[in-house]
Amino acid sequence: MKHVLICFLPILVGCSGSQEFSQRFQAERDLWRADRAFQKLAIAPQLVDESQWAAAAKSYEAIGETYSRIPADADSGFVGRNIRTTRTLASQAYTRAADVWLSLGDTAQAITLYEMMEADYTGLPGVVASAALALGNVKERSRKIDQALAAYRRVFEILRESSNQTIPSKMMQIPLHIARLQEGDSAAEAYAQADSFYGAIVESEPQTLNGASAQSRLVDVATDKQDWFLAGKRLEGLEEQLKVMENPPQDPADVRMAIGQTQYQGLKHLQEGVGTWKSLLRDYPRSKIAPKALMALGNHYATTGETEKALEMFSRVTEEYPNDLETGPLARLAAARLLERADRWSEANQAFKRLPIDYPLSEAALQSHIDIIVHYERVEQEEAKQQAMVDAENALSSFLGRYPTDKNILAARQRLVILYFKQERYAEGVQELLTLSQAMRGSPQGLQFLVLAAQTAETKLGEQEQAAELFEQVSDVYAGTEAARQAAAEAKRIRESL
Amino acid sequence: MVYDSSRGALKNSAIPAENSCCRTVERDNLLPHILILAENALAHVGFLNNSSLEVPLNPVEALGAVGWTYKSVLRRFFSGSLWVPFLILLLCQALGLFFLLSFFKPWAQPVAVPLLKWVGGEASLHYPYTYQVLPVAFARLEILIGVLLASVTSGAATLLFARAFGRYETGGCWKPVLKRYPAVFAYSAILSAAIFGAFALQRVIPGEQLLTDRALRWGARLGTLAVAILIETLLVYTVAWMFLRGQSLLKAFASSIRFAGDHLLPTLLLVSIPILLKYPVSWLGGRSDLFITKFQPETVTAVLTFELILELVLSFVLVGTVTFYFLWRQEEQA
Repeated sequence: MKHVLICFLPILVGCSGSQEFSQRFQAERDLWRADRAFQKLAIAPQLVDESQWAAAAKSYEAIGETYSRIPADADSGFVGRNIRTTRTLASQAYTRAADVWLSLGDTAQAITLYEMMEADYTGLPGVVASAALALGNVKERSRKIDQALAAYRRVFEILRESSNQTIPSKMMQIPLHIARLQEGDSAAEAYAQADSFYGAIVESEPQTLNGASAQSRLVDVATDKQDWFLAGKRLEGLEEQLKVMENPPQDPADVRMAIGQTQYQGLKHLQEGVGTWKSLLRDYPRSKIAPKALMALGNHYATTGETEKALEMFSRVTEEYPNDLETGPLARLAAARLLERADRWSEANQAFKRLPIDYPLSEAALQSHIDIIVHYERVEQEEAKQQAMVDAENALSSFLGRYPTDKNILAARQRLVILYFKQERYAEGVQELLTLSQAMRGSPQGLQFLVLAAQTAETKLGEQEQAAELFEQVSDVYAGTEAARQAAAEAKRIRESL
Repeated sequence: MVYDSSRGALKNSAIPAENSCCRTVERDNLLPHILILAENALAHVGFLNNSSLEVPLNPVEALGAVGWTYKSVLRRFFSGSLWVPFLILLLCQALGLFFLLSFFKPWAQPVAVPLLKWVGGEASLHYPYTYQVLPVAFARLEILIGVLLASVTSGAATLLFARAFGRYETGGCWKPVLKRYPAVFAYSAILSAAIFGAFALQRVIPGEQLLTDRALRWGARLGTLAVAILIETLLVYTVAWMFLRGQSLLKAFASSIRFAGDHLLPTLLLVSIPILLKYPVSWLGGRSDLFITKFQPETVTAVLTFELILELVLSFVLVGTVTFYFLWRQEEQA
């Protein structure tokens, strides 16, 4: 027995395992634990203070530091693979740390991490590209377009050198995005480079995810240049590609719909567009795009004055696709509006009133109340209009009370603003605008609501102090934008007049 | 050994009179009611007669016999020396578990990585999926430990219990077992293969059906468990026949099957009680996916550790009760 053990020992020592494998597993474990701790914070973020988020970011950074110390290895064997996986995990930890810093508003810290990843992970082009892309996004949001472009170009270089790998969608977008950020000759050159890049991918791997994604971007390039004929041709190519793929990334019917729109709106070949939408209904009757084709046909017939045909298309949406809760309400609203314009008010009124009953959570249902008011304004029936406004306010308030977390809550508030303004209840209108601007803080729509609130406070309510404060809020929240500069000027003007 | 009717005990028995199965039941003692009932039933049936027990016991008698067996073994629960074989086995199992948990360490990789890969593929080498695969991988390792070591420890434990019951007074408890290691190894291997085969019967049912039909799934589980219990019931006395009656392996198999057949109900109870007590914990150990998503993956380790400790206690009880019952019935028949 002793001899067996003595013989066994050298074999064991000789076959001892890999330190790199061990480190890879430990990196996975540490990152998983950090993610779990982060998820616990994210359950109720309003209860978490800034120091806890910062601690989470630091713990991610610590993981990144620990496992970045492993030197890179170009070996393609077992050891090299484990090293690359470990370093990729370390980069993921850094990326998560940067995301947390960004959410805390600390862009400097995030930028430091992205720049460090670009410098230290040259052996992992995917990591470098992700870091450059993230850096570009940060620079772009801070309106440092040149620096953003520089970062995006580094991503483009890496994409050009990568081969036979599925390119993530946000990276595939980069050549086009670079072109869109520029103007004049630079833009033309960038579009040409993007065109060449996408064309090469389509040629080399037509029936792959990369190929379909690249073809889709070629359509975007043509659309950006307003070359509708070329866009249409490229869309036809895309549809052909998608039809033969086993799991196409996009519904071919969606592309057929886009072809029709290109012909109708881009090339102004109305009958061609109508024909394409009709072919969509014939070739893809069960697609969820089919109701949209019916809507497009209905809108076309409404435009050409073929009211009955238009109404027929709109009613087919709800009859043939009763489960479509997106297009169904829009079709009903379109039909009601058509009837109202055709002076068939009793039918239109019935259609408007049925909308909130059949589709209570739809934005179209909220709009129907406003459309009724607009009708009475048009026919100058003041009493009916007043009653309609009371009914609308009751309905919208009831919606807000019953569905406080519904996705259309902001749409309901916007309709309330319209209603208050129509009733010259500007104080309440301003309150709703402030609620909307807070909910959409940082977005262009939020900016519009805040500016409108400030303007209303100044011109309609005569509240100069409030107006000045609101303009100052615009310049703080949207600092760096043209709107912020104008708002600051307005605030200064008002303060000087006080 | 003969029955002394005046004392209601086995004469010259090392098993004290207080263990006699038909004493006057005192109302203020703390015996569970079932034991009281069983003891009186035994008395009425004439269990104390000197006749051989070739007639199978009825359910109440069987319950009573099992109860008495349990009582006799549990009296020795705190006898340290009886635990030694089981503690040695527990130590080896714990080392095996530790070895698997350390699979990513360089010294463990050459053996642990292939085992995990065999059970769960490449994904099992990544956190936290390792813990999903861990119970199955550990179960395979336990089969190996069982075949190599558990056979020896249960043989030694049988002799230790027999000594504690006054039926084995000469010689050591380990040497006789180690001397016949090939035989105990073969016994363990055959038993493990048979039980593994019983559980593998589930594969006869298409996997998709098992996944979608809950009743079928539980039926398959309990059915294969019943088959495994039956196999263990028939073969459970083999070690006793080998070491307490000096039979060869094949003869011991035959004797065990015959003996178990003659005492089917009590043996079924003796075997199934520990298995059924352990089953919920084993089932929980198999739900590692729950622990990974709801708790920490490391919770699987805690469950497996608890399962090992429970197995320690239940193995003690099983070996003890089987040995006691074997000796008791043998002497009744003598």
